[in-house]
Amino acid sequence: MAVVYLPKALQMFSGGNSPVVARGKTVREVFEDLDQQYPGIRDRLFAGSSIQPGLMLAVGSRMGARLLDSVDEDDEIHILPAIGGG
Amino acid sequence: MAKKRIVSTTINGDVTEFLCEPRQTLLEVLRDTLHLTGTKEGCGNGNCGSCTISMNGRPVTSCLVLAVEAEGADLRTIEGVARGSALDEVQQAFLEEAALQCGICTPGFIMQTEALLAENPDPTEEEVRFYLAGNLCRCTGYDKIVRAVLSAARKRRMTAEAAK
Amino acid sequence: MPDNAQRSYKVIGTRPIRHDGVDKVTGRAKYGADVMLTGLLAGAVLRSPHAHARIRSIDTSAAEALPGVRAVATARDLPDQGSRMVELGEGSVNMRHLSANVLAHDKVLYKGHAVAAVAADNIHIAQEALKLIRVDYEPLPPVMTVTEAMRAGAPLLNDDVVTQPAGNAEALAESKPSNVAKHFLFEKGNLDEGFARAKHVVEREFHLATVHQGYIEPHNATALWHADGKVSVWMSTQGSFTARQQTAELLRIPVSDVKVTPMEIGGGFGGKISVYLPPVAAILSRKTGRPVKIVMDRAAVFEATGPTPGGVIRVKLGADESGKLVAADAWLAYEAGAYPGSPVGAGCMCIFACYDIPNARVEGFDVCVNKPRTNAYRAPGSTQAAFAVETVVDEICQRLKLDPLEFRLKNASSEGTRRVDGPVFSRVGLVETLQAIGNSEHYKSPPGGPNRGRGMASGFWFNVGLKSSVTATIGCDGKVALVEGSPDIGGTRTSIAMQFAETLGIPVEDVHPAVADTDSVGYTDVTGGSRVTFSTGIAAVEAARDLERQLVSRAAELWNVPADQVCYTNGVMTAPGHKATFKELVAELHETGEPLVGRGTSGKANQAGAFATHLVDVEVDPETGKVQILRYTAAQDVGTAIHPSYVEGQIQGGVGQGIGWALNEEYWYDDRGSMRNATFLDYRLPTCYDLPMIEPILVEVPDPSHPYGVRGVGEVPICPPPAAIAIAIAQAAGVRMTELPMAPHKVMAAILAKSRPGNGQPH
Repeated sequence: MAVVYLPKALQMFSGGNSPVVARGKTVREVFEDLDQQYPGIRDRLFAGSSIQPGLMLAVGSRMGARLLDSVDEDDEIHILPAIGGG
Repeated sequence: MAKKRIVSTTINGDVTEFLCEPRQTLLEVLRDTLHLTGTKEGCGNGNCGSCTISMNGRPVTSCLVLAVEAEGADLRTIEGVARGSALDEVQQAFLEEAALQCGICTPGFIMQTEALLAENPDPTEEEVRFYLAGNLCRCTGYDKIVRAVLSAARKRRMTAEAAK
Repeated sequence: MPDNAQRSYKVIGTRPIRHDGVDKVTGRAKYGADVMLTGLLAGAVLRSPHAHARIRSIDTSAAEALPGVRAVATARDLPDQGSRMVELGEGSVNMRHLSANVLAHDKVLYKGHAVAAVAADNIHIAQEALKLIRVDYEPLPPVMTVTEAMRAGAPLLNDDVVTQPAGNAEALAESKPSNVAKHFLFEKGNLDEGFARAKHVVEREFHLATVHQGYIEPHNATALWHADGKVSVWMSTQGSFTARQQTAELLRIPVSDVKVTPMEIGGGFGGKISVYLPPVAAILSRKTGRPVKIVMDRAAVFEATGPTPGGVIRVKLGADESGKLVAADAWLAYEAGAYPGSPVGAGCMCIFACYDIPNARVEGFDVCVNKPRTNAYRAPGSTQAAFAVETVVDEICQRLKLDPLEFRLKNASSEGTRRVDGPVFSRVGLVETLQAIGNSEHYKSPPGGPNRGRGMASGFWFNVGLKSSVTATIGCDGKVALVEGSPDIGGTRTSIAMQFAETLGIPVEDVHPAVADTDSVGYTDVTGGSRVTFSTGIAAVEAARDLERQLVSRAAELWNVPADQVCYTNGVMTAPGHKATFKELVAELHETGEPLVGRGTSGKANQAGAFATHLVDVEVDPETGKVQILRYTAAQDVGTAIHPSYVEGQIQGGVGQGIGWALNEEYWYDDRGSMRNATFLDYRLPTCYDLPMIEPILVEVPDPSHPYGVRGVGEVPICPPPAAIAIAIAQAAGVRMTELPMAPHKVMAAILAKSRPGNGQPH
């Protein structure tokens, strides 16, 4: 089970809980599973087939993860504000 | 629009005539009319030194010189610094010391350095920093530029010694 | 996984002369403003004299009638954008805002905001024509600070901006337009319990000025709208592909119909990612059928591009008796400028990144004010945050009578530390930079003398990965043309070529790197986020490996031996009974088969982040408040230094900018919201007479996610200087500066305000 850290703005879906656990081999699958548990959260995570504009993902310590990146058992997924470099 | 004037100059050793309006700066004519685009414009009001050229042996910011003022003048630009295809000591030192990053200020720094070394072949670090204070660089923190100037001065003195 | 201690390199770590160097010292290199085309027209942009006004009408008829004027454009010539968000490579953008920033729609939101544009036979006619354009403005009250803008009832900049809340998202439905575009909140542990355990608590508020990236080359663009509907753009940009996409989206034409040719670029630092001029030049070209070049003047660069945000930061830190940080609370409000998008999110994520703190909270606000739309500037958002947190850390050390180096070592983040925003650090080198400073000659020699002080500060920046593409073609003489999509701002052609040469075992001089246009190389993200040597480097390594595979299989064919018996190392191909150098082999292969072309891409790898610790000695003139930098040492975790001279250069340049930010740079506004110092003379970047030599210490902690351990180096060196200098001033003059810049008049005021006389001496 992946451990998903939800930003404050999404904790309304999880009853204020964070982190939460979800199942999946990729980030996308984990998020699909999250939506099964917390209906509606999907629309706040996806824009079509990509991640919502303005969000950035981290799997473990790696920032900038993508939806198709694989997720290992016990990996942490973080949903963060997007950053831009100079 | 005022009538255009003919101006006769020597640029990098070549007799050069050009037509210009009285309101045009020497920088504009060098770049847009004569296509000598090695001289750069960073500010247009003499603050940054990117457009420095040599006019009758003195460094000037060409954005503050009207083109008509160049009548009869002997001008040297960055395009005239290398001897044929051989770089001069200042250009070489800028490469060896990694004294440029984006390179936009580099022609101005090289022209100002040429003027410094013509006046003072053996400058101290303090003298280099004082003489180049009118040239802005935003990339390097000046450290490697100052080192390059000191290194070029050293090489030029050694070459002069050897020639004696 | 790289283990650099065990590896010896032939090319990496050497200091070859950069490939583009000769053109740049002889004036031959072509920058954006140097573009010359047949039939070229000159463009100029009319800019708002008001900081905040509604546009009632624009009359361009007199300008159009001026002889020599070929076209006039206003926002009416730009297609409607609706309210779409578009992902533009390094972040998403509201297209309506981007469009209105390029040419104001119904309102101007800052002095200098583009309102109309003219194309004419020369620049003088274009400038005369601008004076003939009549704009009827209804001036509105300007809002110039985050404090004013957040106040209830403040004049509103954008009626389509509502606060995106950090907490209860249901509030969205009933929310009203606001100047606050976004609210962030990050929490870790239990803040109240943490502060309850704290023995020493320090809380301070900091005020930050708006500053500019200050690149010497003004923005420029030349566009040609071809008769077949395709658009060519020549410009200096940090990212030709994002420039292409922005231009296409703003014009609402297919992205592949735009070709962007990146010219040499005269500095960017984050400020040359957003587009301003290409769509305007393109519209003027469409109207005239001729190419149009627009180059900003310096005032426009200051008033309409950049800057990086000012704002307010409050930091509260608590430490226990042993000197361990136990609680931390921060509140950040950053100016977004005219439209949402300040780097406050990044500022929130960076502010406590240097410390392992069990209980923390960070809250941030993105606030619209009547200033130019802010843009990235070298570690965007982090320098402001470092100024605040490091100053408070120093005050805690002073209270606890603890050595600042020991305190930082005791509390430093390292592999395994969980940041306040959630993720856990992998292998990072903050501790190593602290140790390097501790071992430096500078640290061991006291500053000495009256009115002198010393400051130490650390900083963090993420560094990004993103996508890059490279192709490599081997010529018949064994030299390689390396084509890449990353505009080269500081020597990256060479740092990329060096990694390629190392991988293929050939001399770096035999690699000829070139930066190509968007039709001639694969997609490549911006030169920014300290990513090029890392990510384009990976693509170059992949291209070299691709070629190596081709060479092995072709050698096997040539020598008629099984491929698994062919071995290529250090530029020599061997098989039982056969041996050939790279060049010998290539000469033969060119005779016997198809060309050798390699390709490499990157996009999966992400960086581990970079840390720096700086040490500075200053002298404060007690008569004037002027601060002189006496000595500066900057230790940085640089991963593996590919070309050490250019790594040093990045550090020295970042420090130079950080010193300017600390001591004199700021936007001066009058009460009408008009910038009063929009020239280099009055804005005043540091000159070489202001700075000492800057000593870099390269600490090499390889990043495991790069084949050679590269870590981005460009951004983090700007983070520590304002904090380190403030701390040094506190030691030198006994005053805690909480406002940037620490200009002479502010330092002097602080010295005069000290209640106890005679405190100007070092303590």
